[in-house]
Amino acid sequence: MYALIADGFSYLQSQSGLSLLLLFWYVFIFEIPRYTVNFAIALLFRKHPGDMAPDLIDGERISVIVAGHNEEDAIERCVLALHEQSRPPDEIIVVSDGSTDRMAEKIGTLLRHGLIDSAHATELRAGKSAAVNLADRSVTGEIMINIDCDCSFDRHAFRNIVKPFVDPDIGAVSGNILVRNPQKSLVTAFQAIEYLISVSMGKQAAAQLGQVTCASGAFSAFRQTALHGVGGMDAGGGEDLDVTLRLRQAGWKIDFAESAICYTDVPDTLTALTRQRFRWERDAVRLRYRKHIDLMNPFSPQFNWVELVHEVEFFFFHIVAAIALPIYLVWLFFTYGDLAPIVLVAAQAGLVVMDVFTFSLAAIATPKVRSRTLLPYLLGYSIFNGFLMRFIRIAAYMQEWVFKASYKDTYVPDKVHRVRG
Amino acid sequence: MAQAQVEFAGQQAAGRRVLVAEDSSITQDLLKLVLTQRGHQVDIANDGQEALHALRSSSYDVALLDFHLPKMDGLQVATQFLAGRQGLSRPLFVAITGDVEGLLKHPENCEHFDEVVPKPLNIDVVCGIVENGTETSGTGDAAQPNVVEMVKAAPAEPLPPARTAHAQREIIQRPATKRSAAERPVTQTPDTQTPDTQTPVSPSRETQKTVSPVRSAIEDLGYTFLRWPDDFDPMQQSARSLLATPQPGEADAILLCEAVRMEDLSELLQSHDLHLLPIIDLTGERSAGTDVSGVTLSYGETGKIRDVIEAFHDRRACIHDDLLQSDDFGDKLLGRMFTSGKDLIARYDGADTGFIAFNTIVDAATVGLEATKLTENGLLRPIFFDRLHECGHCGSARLNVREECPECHSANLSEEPYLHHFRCAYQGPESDFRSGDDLICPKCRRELSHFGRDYDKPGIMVSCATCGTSTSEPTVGFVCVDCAARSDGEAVRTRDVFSYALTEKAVGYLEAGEAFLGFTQKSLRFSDLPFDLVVALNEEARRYNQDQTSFALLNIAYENEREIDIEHGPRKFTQARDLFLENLRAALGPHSKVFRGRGYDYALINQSSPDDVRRDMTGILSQANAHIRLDIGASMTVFGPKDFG
Ligand SMILES: [Zn+2]
Ligand SMILES: [Zn+2]
Ligand SMILES: [Zn+2]
Repeated sequence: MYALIADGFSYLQSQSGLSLLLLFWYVFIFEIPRYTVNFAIALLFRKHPGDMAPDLIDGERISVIVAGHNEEDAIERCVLALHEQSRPPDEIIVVSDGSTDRMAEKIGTLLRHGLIDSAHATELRAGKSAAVNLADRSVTGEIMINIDCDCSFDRHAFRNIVKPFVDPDIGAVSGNILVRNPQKSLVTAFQAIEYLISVSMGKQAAAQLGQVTCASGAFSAFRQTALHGVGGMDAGGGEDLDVTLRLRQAGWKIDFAESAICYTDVPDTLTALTRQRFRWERDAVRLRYRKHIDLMNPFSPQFNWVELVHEVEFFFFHIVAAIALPIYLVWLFFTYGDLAPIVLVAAQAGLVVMDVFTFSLAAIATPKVRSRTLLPYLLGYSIFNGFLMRFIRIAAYMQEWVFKASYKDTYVPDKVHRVRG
Repeated sequence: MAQAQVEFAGQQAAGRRVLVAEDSSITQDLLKLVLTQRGHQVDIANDGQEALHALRSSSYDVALLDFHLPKMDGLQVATQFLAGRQGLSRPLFVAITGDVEGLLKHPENCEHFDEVVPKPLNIDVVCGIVENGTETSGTGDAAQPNVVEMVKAAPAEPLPPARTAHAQREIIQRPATKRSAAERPVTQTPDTQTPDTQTPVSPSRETQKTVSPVRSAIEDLGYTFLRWPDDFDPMQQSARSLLATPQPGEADAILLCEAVRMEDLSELLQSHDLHLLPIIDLTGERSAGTDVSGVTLSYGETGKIRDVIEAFHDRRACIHDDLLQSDDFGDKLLGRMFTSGKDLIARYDGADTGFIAFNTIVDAATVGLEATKLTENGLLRPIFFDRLHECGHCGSARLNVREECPECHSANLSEEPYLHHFRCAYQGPESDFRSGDDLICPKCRRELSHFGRDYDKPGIMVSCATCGTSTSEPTVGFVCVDCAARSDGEAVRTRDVFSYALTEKAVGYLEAGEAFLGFTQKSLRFSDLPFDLVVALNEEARRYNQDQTSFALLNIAYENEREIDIEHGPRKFTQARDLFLENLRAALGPHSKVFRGRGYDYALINQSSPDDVRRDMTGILSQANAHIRLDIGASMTVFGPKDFG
């Protein structure tokens, strides 16, 4: 065994630059550019101009929509927390989307106590999009913040998420979502790193390039004129991605407010995580390559170059990278036999170094997170992110392409699956 | 001790000039003290001659004349003073006597005295007469200055209408010993010019009207009825006066021949101690508050009336004197419940702002308040009836409950189902989709053609036509029908209403009187105190106010009075009680006075603090109990100056 490792290292050392490039082609094609772009952006644009902007003038009304299904336990705490904001919303609208628990009663009580301004309860579940659309009727503010019941917010989250709207071209702003339960399990710790790097820093980077593609459904703010201009939410799932894509199509800019921090619990078992990611990836594929395929068609009136860049980026780094991974592994083992594991270990070692570096930048960019406790997990992060997530992605894409599985998931009522585009 | 405080503080009425002709110095002192404290000017006459002289030399509003005065009795004073003064102003003449019967034997008495007050004096009654009764004395009908109200000694004379205002104290004994036709009032008041032609049995103005066969049958039962309104002063119904007052126990039932306001009836019955009589309703309008309805009876069923009257008689006979004579409203309520044999039953009554009426002759608010007190004292057992919501502004329970807009509180809400278009997630009221007969989605312009496949109706939306808000959660609001004040459903005040039943303790109290409860149950009631004690207490109180000289009042209760009465007879108990008081006098020494009361006895100790007396209590009790063979269960409660406010 030791001899094998020693052989492996001596082999690697004996390689010329070109042959190393050939050996690690996957890393050089899919990993290095991704990291490089992140480094470059993190270093080049230190501070996001939105953060410097003054607070919205006082006259601007902020409405919050909380749409939930069976949230009787969470809704009261959630509403009370909204009143703790340094910039409390001017209006809170809660929709109980066909809840079968006592959520409808709860929100009635909240309404009578004046803690919320409008309460709606439907008898039948319609899905989050329809619930938000229903609540949207009652919105009187020009800025609408859409949140999930199970999130919690920093005191200044609302003040910060509305700041970018001083730019009249901004149609929506995504909040910065961080993991509330990193200590829960290995899976949550890896996700905490993932959110910090890909959501917190990744979206900051994307915002610099005008490439924020998903105003997160858990916490984002919309300019009502923009939202109404695109007809509100469409049938889910992935309605957050969907509405963002449509806003971009309509010419609105999407921003990311890294200081508008929201915490959410992430799945703490591999099974739950797998199920969640299956859903996300399937929705992404469905929306990008079915519903919004026009964005990539140069002959469509919807086509624009920025969108194309974005779509190509997604296609290449998510889909192609995922599919290429097993090919690379097969090729590696076929070509190098016993040496293949050594090559992979070496590759991982290199990735860990880059992860540490990236993570440090992300931690600097989002000082709120107690990132030091996450450091030990960086050793395994590249395996989690580079292998596990990619395999899950492949499986999800296969399912979606072959079986149109997103039409069956339970996140959206069956009646909606059957008919949505 | 609130009552005591009221007495000491003195309710300041408009000052009257009062002459007191009284040979007992204690009574003189007392009357002077109490009346002076209440702001009146009091002169004292020691005998009849002095009284006549005083009357002739100054003018008085009220003359309180002891009937048995030295040198010249009260009657002679009044007669001589009034001789030759027809048409001139005169004081209100009030006779004070221990012998009401004797006084009333002479018909001329009734001409000269406006009021008769029995001895021992009830201070409240005297004050009431002085303060309320004098209003007519100077301004009365000049031609007929001294008509005695109750016994119409001078037939064919009109009734002075205002003379009745002070007749509100039930203890005043009215001169009404005979109930002959000759003494019946001839009620030629201006509104009813009906000649007096009725028989003695039914001396009623109504005799000329048609009397129903049932009423005749009832009246033929052989009982003495008081008829509303015939036997009550037609001009002064609301002033609680009574034309024909029977002696206690003489009337058997009240006959309601015309509708009457509950307040009038209840005040009337209470103030004349008629509240223990059955009320027979002949109007059909007050069936809930009355005891038996004559309206629903057929001609042959008047025996039922007899049964009711007899039942009242029997139960009234069981009530202890303490309760029969009590002034206390609570006692009257208990007595009424006991005599009628009915619990206090609450029922809804939309006519009253309290929304509740009880099956009694008193309004629900008064009953509720008193019943709560009685419940606290363990005399009534509450039975939950309902929880009412009350206006926070005016207290009325007549509220309109409605669903209202959470924004503007308008009740102008309409419900509309809303539609969910699955394909585009548009969700809104059906009217958004309506386009003629079709449903067209306002967002995606697709037609909704198939319920369940294209769309469904997840719920109902309530929209406010006043402010345009829509919600699925209208709030509940209350609007007061009486004052139009509005309150939130959750903020509105509630009040629990109970029916009440007598407890065993209450029955014991009714049958055995105050001794049954023991002193601690009742607070010290000033009006219950013996007269000379009131005088002495006034003196002590004044001294205390002047130089803080303390005093202690012992209230002595006898727990075993009833048992001894039953076992050994009342004489034994009285002997033991006398001996006890004798011992007590000796034990307390020269700085004390012992007073004999009706239910309780009292001892007033000068220059002692109540705490000192409390400390010595065991010793005092054992000394006072010495040589008494029967255990009379004496207990003492100590009161000090602070207890009198
Ligand atoms: Zn009111
Ligand atoms: Zn539609
Ligand atoms: Zn309204």
